[in-house]
Amino acid sequence: MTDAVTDVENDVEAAPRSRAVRWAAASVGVVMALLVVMLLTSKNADDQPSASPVLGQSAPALGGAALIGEPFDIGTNDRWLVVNFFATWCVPCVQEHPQLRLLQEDMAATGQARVVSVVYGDKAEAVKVFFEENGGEWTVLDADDGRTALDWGVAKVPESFLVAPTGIVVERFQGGVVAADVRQLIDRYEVEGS
Amino acid sequence: MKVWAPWMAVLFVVVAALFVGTVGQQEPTPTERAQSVASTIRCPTCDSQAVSSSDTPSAQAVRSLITDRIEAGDSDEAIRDYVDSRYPGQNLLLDPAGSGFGGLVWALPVIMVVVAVAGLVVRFGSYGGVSRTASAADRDLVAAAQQASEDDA
Repeated sequence: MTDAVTDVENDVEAAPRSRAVRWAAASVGVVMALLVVMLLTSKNADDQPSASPVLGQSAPALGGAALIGEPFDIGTNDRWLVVNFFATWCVPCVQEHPQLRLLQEDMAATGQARVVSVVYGDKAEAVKVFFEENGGEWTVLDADDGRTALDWGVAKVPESFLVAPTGIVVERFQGGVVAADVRQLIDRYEVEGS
Repeated sequence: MKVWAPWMAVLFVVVAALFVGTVGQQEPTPTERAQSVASTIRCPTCDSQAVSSSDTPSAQAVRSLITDRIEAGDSDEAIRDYVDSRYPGQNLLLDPAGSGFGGLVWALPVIMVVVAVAGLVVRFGSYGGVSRTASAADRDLVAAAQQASEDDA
Protein backbone atom coordinates (compact mmCIF):
# COMPACT_ATOMS: atom_id res chain seq x y z
CA MET A 1 0.00 0.00 0.00
CA THR A 2 2.72 2.46 1.07
CA ASP A 3 4.88 1.34 -1.86
CA ALA A 4 2.08 2.09 -4.25
CA VAL A 5 1.76 5.64 -2.90
CA THR A 6 5.47 6.45 -3.40
CA ASP A 7 5.39 4.95 -6.88
CA VAL A 8 2.56 7.24 -7.86
CA GLU A 9 4.44 10.24 -6.47
CA ASN A 10 7.59 9.26 -8.38
CA ASP A 11 5.68 8.96 -11.62
CA VAL A 12 4.19 12.41 -11.19
CA GLU A 13 7.64 13.91 -10.64
CA ALA A 14 9.41 11.80 -13.25
CA ALA A 15 7.52 13.29 -16.17
CA PRO A 16 8.83 16.90 -16.04
CA ARG A 17 12.30 15.80 -14.92
CA SER A 18 12.83 13.43 -17.85
CA ARG A 19 11.54 16.12 -20.20
CA ALA A 20 14.16 18.54 -18.84
CA VAL A 21 16.86 15.88 -19.18
CA ARG A 22 15.80 15.24 -22.76
CA TRP A 23 15.97 18.96 -23.54
CA ALA A 24 19.41 19.27 -21.95
CA ALA A 25 20.71 16.24 -23.81
CA ALA A 26 19.30 17.50 -27.09
CA SER A 27 20.84 20.96 -26.71
CA VAL A 28 24.23 19.50 -25.78
CA GLY A 29 23.95 17.24 -28.80
CA VAL A 30 23.16 20.17 -31.10
CA VAL A 31 26.13 22.15 -29.77
CA MET A 32 28.44 19.16 -30.30
CA ALA A 33 27.15 18.67 -33.84
CA LEU A 34 27.71 22.38 -34.60
CA LEU A 35 31.28 22.13 -33.28
CA VAL A 36 31.99 19.13 -35.49
CA VAL A 37 30.57 20.96 -38.52
CA MET A 38 32.70 24.02 -37.69
CA LEU A 39 35.86 21.91 -37.40
CA LEU A 40 35.13 20.12 -40.66
CA THR A 41 34.40 23.26 -42.65
CA SER A 42 37.10 25.56 -41.23
CA LYS A 43 40.07 25.86 -43.54
CA ASN A 44 43.51 24.91 -42.37
CA ALA A 45 45.71 28.02 -42.25
CA ASP A 46 48.65 26.07 -43.72
CA ASP A 47 46.74 24.98 -46.81
CA GLN A 48 46.23 28.41 -48.28
CA PRO A 49 48.59 31.27 -49.08
CA SER A 50 48.28 33.55 -46.08
CA ALA A 51 46.94 37.02 -46.64
CA SER A 52 49.37 39.90 -46.65
CA PRO A 53 48.74 43.16 -44.80
CA VAL A 54 50.86 45.20 -47.23
CA LEU A 55 49.58 43.98 -50.60
CA GLY A 56 47.85 46.87 -52.37
CA GLN A 57 49.03 49.29 -49.67
CA SER A 58 51.91 51.73 -49.72
CA ALA A 59 55.11 50.01 -48.72
CA PRO A 60 56.10 50.21 -45.04
CA ALA A 61 59.45 51.80 -44.24
CA LEU A 62 62.67 49.82 -44.55
CA GLY A 63 64.22 50.73 -41.25
CA GLY A 64 67.47 48.78 -41.01
CA ALA A 65 70.88 50.34 -41.54
CA ALA A 66 72.72 49.35 -44.73
CA LEU A 67 75.10 46.44 -44.13
CA ILE A 68 76.16 46.32 -47.75
CA GLY A 69 75.78 48.98 -50.43
CA GLU A 70 74.35 52.46 -50.17
CA PRO A 71 71.74 53.48 -47.63
CA PHE A 72 68.28 53.22 -49.05
CA ASP A 73 65.20 55.34 -48.47
CA ILE A 74 62.02 53.81 -49.81
CA GLY A 75 60.31 57.20 -49.63
CA THR A 76 62.46 58.70 -52.39
CA ASN A 77 62.54 55.58 -54.56
CA ASP A 78 61.17 56.06 -58.09
CA ARG A 79 61.91 52.69 -59.68
CA TRP A 80 60.38 49.26 -59.53
CA LEU A 81 61.65 47.66 -56.37
CA VAL A 82 62.10 44.07 -55.31
CA VAL A 83 62.21 43.91 -51.52
CA ASN A 84 63.70 40.57 -50.55
CA PHE A 85 63.73 39.10 -47.04
CA PHE A 86 66.36 36.42 -46.57
CA ALA A 87 68.79 34.65 -44.23
CA THR A 88 72.02 32.83 -45.04
CA TRP A 89 70.89 29.83 -42.95
CA CYS A 90 67.83 29.39 -45.13
CA VAL A 91 68.47 26.96 -47.99
CA PRO A 92 65.77 28.26 -50.38
CA CYS A 93 67.23 31.77 -49.87
CA VAL A 94 70.67 30.55 -50.94
CA GLN A 95 69.08 28.85 -53.94
CA GLU A 96 67.21 32.04 -54.78
CA HIS A 97 70.33 34.21 -54.73
CA PRO A 98 71.41 33.69 -58.40
CA GLN A 99 67.92 34.78 -59.53
CA LEU A 100 68.23 38.01 -57.57
CA ARG A 101 71.65 38.60 -59.11
CA LEU A 102 70.18 38.03 -62.56
CA LEU A 103 67.40 40.48 -61.82
CA GLN A 104 69.74 43.13 -60.47
CA GLU A 105 72.26 42.81 -63.32
CA ASP A 106 69.55 42.88 -65.94
CA MET A 107 67.25 45.59 -64.65
CA ALA A 108 69.51 47.84 -62.62
CA ALA A 109 71.54 48.51 -65.80
CA THR A 110 68.48 49.99 -67.48
CA GLY A 111 67.46 51.85 -64.36
CA GLN A 112 64.08 50.16 -64.47
CA ALA A 113 64.24 48.27 -61.21
CA ARG A 114 66.41 47.60 -58.22
CA VAL A 115 66.74 44.96 -55.55
CA VAL A 116 66.92 45.62 -51.82
CA SER A 117 67.47 42.76 -49.40
CA VAL A 118 66.53 42.76 -45.74
CA VAL A 119 68.29 40.35 -43.40
CA TYR A 120 65.95 38.14 -41.37
CA GLY A 121 67.20 36.62 -38.12
CA ASP A 122 70.81 36.41 -39.20
CA LYS A 123 74.14 37.88 -38.14
CA ALA A 124 75.71 40.78 -40.03
CA GLU A 125 79.05 38.96 -40.38
CA ALA A 126 77.43 35.88 -41.89
CA VAL A 127 75.62 38.06 -44.43
CA LYS A 128 78.79 39.93 -45.40
CA VAL A 129 80.68 36.67 -45.88
CA PHE A 130 77.77 35.27 -47.91
CA PHE A 131 77.73 38.24 -50.30
CA GLU A 132 81.52 38.16 -50.68
CA GLU A 133 81.36 34.51 -51.63
CA ASN A 134 78.24 34.57 -53.79
CA GLY A 135 78.35 38.02 -55.29
CA GLY A 136 75.52 40.46 -55.58
CA GLU A 137 75.76 44.19 -55.60
CA TRP A 138 72.72 45.76 -54.10
CA THR A 139 71.77 47.31 -50.83
CA VAL A 140 71.40 44.84 -47.96
CA LEU A 141 69.69 46.22 -44.88
CA ASP A 142 70.27 45.03 -41.34
CA ALA A 143 67.63 42.86 -39.68
CA ASP A 144 66.67 45.70 -37.30
CA ASP A 145 65.50 43.17 -34.68
CA GLY A 146 63.12 41.73 -37.26
CA ARG A 147 60.96 44.84 -36.98
CA THR A 148 60.98 45.58 -40.71
CA ALA A 149 59.91 41.99 -41.42
CA LEU A 150 57.13 42.32 -38.83
CA ASP A 151 55.87 45.54 -40.43
CA TRP A 152 55.82 43.77 -43.79
CA GLY A 153 54.08 40.71 -42.32
CA VAL A 154 56.99 38.41 -43.05
CA ALA A 155 57.46 35.35 -40.85
CA LYS A 156 59.08 32.82 -43.18
CA VAL A 157 61.97 33.50 -45.52
CA PRO A 158 62.54 33.75 -48.40
CA GLU A 159 59.78 36.18 -49.10
CA SER A 160 59.85 39.06 -51.56
CA PHE A 161 57.63 41.93 -52.62
CA LEU A 162 57.36 43.87 -55.82
CA VAL A 163 56.85 47.57 -55.16
CA ALA A 164 55.70 49.87 -57.96
CA PRO A 165 57.48 53.20 -58.53
CA THR A 166 54.41 54.80 -56.94
CA GLY A 167 55.30 53.09 -53.66
CA ILE A 168 52.41 50.62 -53.73
CA VAL A 169 53.16 46.95 -53.03
CA VAL A 170 51.74 45.07 -56.03
CA GLU A 171 53.02 41.50 -55.68
CA ARG A 172 54.08 39.15 -52.95
CA PHE A 173 56.35 36.15 -53.54
CA GLN A 174 56.35 33.53 -50.81
CA GLY A 175 59.41 31.40 -51.49
CA GLY A 176 62.18 32.14 -53.94
CA VAL A 177 61.68 34.59 -56.80
CA VAL A 178 62.38 33.80 -60.44
CA ALA A 179 63.97 36.69 -62.36
CA ALA A 180 62.03 36.05 -65.58
CA ASP A 181 58.70 36.04 -63.71
CA VAL A 182 59.44 39.32 -61.98
CA ARG A 183 60.50 40.92 -65.28
CA GLN A 184 57.29 39.72 -66.91
CA LEU A 185 55.18 41.13 -64.08
CA ILE A 186 56.89 44.52 -64.28
CA ASP A 187 56.36 44.62 -68.05
CA ARG A 188 52.70 43.71 -67.63
CA TYR A 189 52.09 46.36 -64.96
CA GLU A 190 53.84 48.98 -67.07
CA VAL A 191 51.63 48.17 -70.06
CA GLU A 192 48.54 48.31 -67.85
CA GLY A 193 49.67 51.52 -66.25
CA SER A 194 50.46 53.39 -69.45
CA MET B 1 18.44 38.84 11.00
CA LYS B 2 20.42 35.90 12.37
CA VAL B 3 19.83 33.89 9.19
CA TRP B 4 21.31 36.66 7.07
CA ALA B 5 24.41 37.28 9.21
CA PRO B 6 26.59 34.54 7.62
CA TRP B 7 25.47 35.60 4.15
CA MET B 8 26.43 39.19 4.90
CA ALA B 9 29.84 37.96 6.07
CA VAL B 10 30.33 36.00 2.82
CA LEU B 11 29.27 39.02 0.77
CA PHE B 12 31.69 41.25 2.68
CA VAL B 13 34.61 38.86 2.07
CA VAL B 14 33.81 38.55 -1.67
CA VAL B 15 33.51 42.31 -2.15
CA ALA B 16 36.69 42.94 -0.17
CA ALA B 17 38.58 40.31 -2.19
CA LEU B 18 37.35 41.79 -5.50
CA PHE B 19 38.30 45.28 -4.35
CA VAL B 20 41.82 44.25 -3.34
CA GLY B 21 42.21 42.16 -6.51
CA THR B 22 41.24 44.96 -8.89
CA VAL B 23 41.95 48.30 -7.24
CA GLY B 24 44.57 47.49 -4.65
CA GLN B 25 47.17 46.25 -7.14
CA GLN B 26 50.18 48.33 -8.03
CA GLU B 27 50.59 49.66 -11.54
CA PRO B 28 52.66 47.06 -13.47
CA THR B 29 56.12 48.14 -14.59
CA PRO B 30 56.74 48.43 -18.38
CA THR B 31 58.71 45.17 -18.23
CA GLU B 32 55.84 43.36 -16.54
CA ARG B 33 53.42 44.76 -19.08
CA ALA B 34 55.64 43.71 -21.98
CA GLN B 35 55.88 40.22 -20.47
CA SER B 36 52.14 39.92 -20.04
CA VAL B 37 51.40 41.16 -23.57
CA ALA B 38 54.05 38.82 -25.00
CA SER B 39 52.44 35.87 -23.24
CA THR B 40 49.13 36.51 -25.01
CA ILE B 41 50.52 36.59 -28.55
CA ARG B 42 51.44 33.43 -30.43
CA CYS B 43 54.82 33.37 -32.12
CA PRO B 44 54.06 33.71 -35.87
CA THR B 45 56.31 30.80 -36.86
CA CYS B 46 55.40 28.46 -34.00
CA ASP B 47 52.30 26.33 -33.62
CA SER B 48 51.13 27.22 -30.15
CA GLN B 49 54.02 28.84 -28.32
CA ALA B 50 53.74 32.34 -26.93
CA VAL B 51 56.10 35.06 -28.09
CA SER B 52 57.32 35.33 -24.49
CA SER B 53 58.72 31.79 -24.51
CA SER B 54 60.06 31.53 -28.04
CA ASP B 55 63.46 32.48 -29.42
CA THR B 56 62.62 32.50 -33.12
CA PRO B 57 63.41 35.70 -35.07
CA SER B 58 59.70 36.40 -35.47
CA ALA B 59 59.14 36.18 -31.71
CA GLN B 60 62.12 38.45 -31.02
CA ALA B 61 60.69 40.97 -33.48
CA VAL B 62 57.33 40.97 -31.72
CA ARG B 63 59.01 41.37 -28.31
CA SER B 64 61.05 44.29 -29.60
CA LEU B 65 57.90 45.86 -31.01
CA ILE B 66 56.02 45.42 -27.72
CA THR B 67 58.80 47.10 -25.74
CA ASP B 68 58.93 50.07 -28.13
CA ARG B 69 55.17 50.54 -28.36
CA ILE B 70 54.79 50.40 -24.56
CA GLU B 71 57.48 53.07 -24.29
CA ALA B 72 55.56 55.11 -26.87
CA GLY B 73 52.50 54.89 -24.64
CA ASP B 74 50.33 52.49 -26.63
CA SER B 75 47.71 50.36 -24.91
CA ASP B 76 48.17 46.59 -24.60
CA GLU B 77 45.14 46.04 -26.80
CA ALA B 78 46.49 48.35 -29.55
CA ILE B 79 49.80 46.43 -29.59
CA ARG B 80 48.02 43.07 -29.78
CA ASP B 81 45.79 44.32 -32.59
CA TYR B 82 48.77 45.62 -34.58
CA VAL B 83 50.69 42.33 -34.38
CA ASP B 84 47.53 40.42 -35.28
CA SER B 85 46.96 42.74 -38.28
CA ARG B 86 50.44 41.95 -39.63
CA TYR B 87 49.63 38.26 -40.02
CA PRO B 88 46.02 38.16 -41.14
CA GLY B 89 44.15 34.90 -40.80
CA GLN B 90 46.74 33.30 -38.55
CA ASN B 91 44.94 33.78 -35.22
CA LEU B 92 47.96 35.06 -33.34
CA LEU B 93 46.04 36.12 -30.24
CA LEU B 94 46.19 33.40 -27.58
CA ASP B 95 43.51 35.18 -25.54
CA PRO B 96 40.46 35.40 -27.75
CA ALA B 97 39.17 38.87 -28.54
CA GLY B 98 36.73 40.35 -26.05
CA SER B 99 34.22 41.38 -28.71
CA GLY B 100 32.55 39.85 -31.75
CA PHE B 101 32.27 36.10 -32.24
CA GLY B 102 35.35 35.48 -30.08
CA GLY B 103 33.58 37.21 -27.19
CA LEU B 104 31.37 34.12 -26.88
CA VAL B 105 34.31 32.34 -25.28
CA TRP B 106 34.19 34.80 -22.39
CA ALA B 107 30.42 35.25 -22.24
CA LEU B 108 29.30 31.59 -22.47
CA PRO B 109 30.73 30.40 -19.12
CA VAL B 110 29.10 33.35 -17.33
CA ILE B 111 25.79 32.69 -19.10
CA MET B 112 26.04 28.99 -18.19
CA VAL B 113 26.62 29.79 -14.50
CA VAL B 114 23.66 32.19 -14.43
CA VAL B 115 21.42 29.65 -16.17
CA ALA B 116 22.58 26.86 -13.84
CA VAL B 117 21.97 28.93 -10.69
CA ALA B 118 18.60 30.04 -12.02
CA GLY B 119 17.75 26.41 -12.76
CA LEU B 120 18.73 25.34 -9.25
CA VAL B 121 16.70 28.16 -7.69
CA VAL B 122 13.65 27.24 -9.75
CA ARG B 123 14.05 23.54 -8.98
CA PHE B 124 14.78 23.73 -5.28
CA GLY B 125 13.00 26.96 -4.48
CA SER B 126 9.69 25.07 -4.31
CA TYR B 127 11.02 22.79 -1.56
CA GLY B 128 11.40 25.38 1.14
CA GLY B 129 8.57 27.35 2.66
CA VAL B 130 5.79 25.00 1.64
CA SER B 131 4.73 23.20 4.80
CA ARG B 132 2.70 20.13 4.27
CA THR B 133 -0.08 19.51 6.71
CA ALA B 134 -1.78 16.18 6.85
CA SER B 135 -5.38 16.28 5.81
CA ALA B 136 -8.17 14.33 7.44
CA ALA B 137 -8.06 11.88 4.54
CA ASP B 138 -4.30 11.29 5.19
CA ARG B 139 -5.00 10.59 8.87
CA ASP B 140 -7.74 8.15 7.95
CA LEU B 141 -5.34 6.41 5.54
CA VAL B 142 -2.65 6.07 8.23
CA ALA B 143 -5.14 4.90 10.81
CA ALA B 144 -6.46 2.31 8.38
CA ALA B 145 -2.93 1.08 7.63
CA GLN B 146 -2.04 0.85 11.28
CA GLN B 147 -5.25 -1.01 11.97
CA ALA B 148 -4.45 -3.40 9.15
CA SER B 149 -0.93 -4.16 10.43
CA GLU B 150 -2.22 -4.62 13.95
CA ASP B 151 -4.78 -7.04 12.60
CA ASP B 152 -2.02 -8.97 10.81
CA ALA B 153 0.09 -9.25 13.94
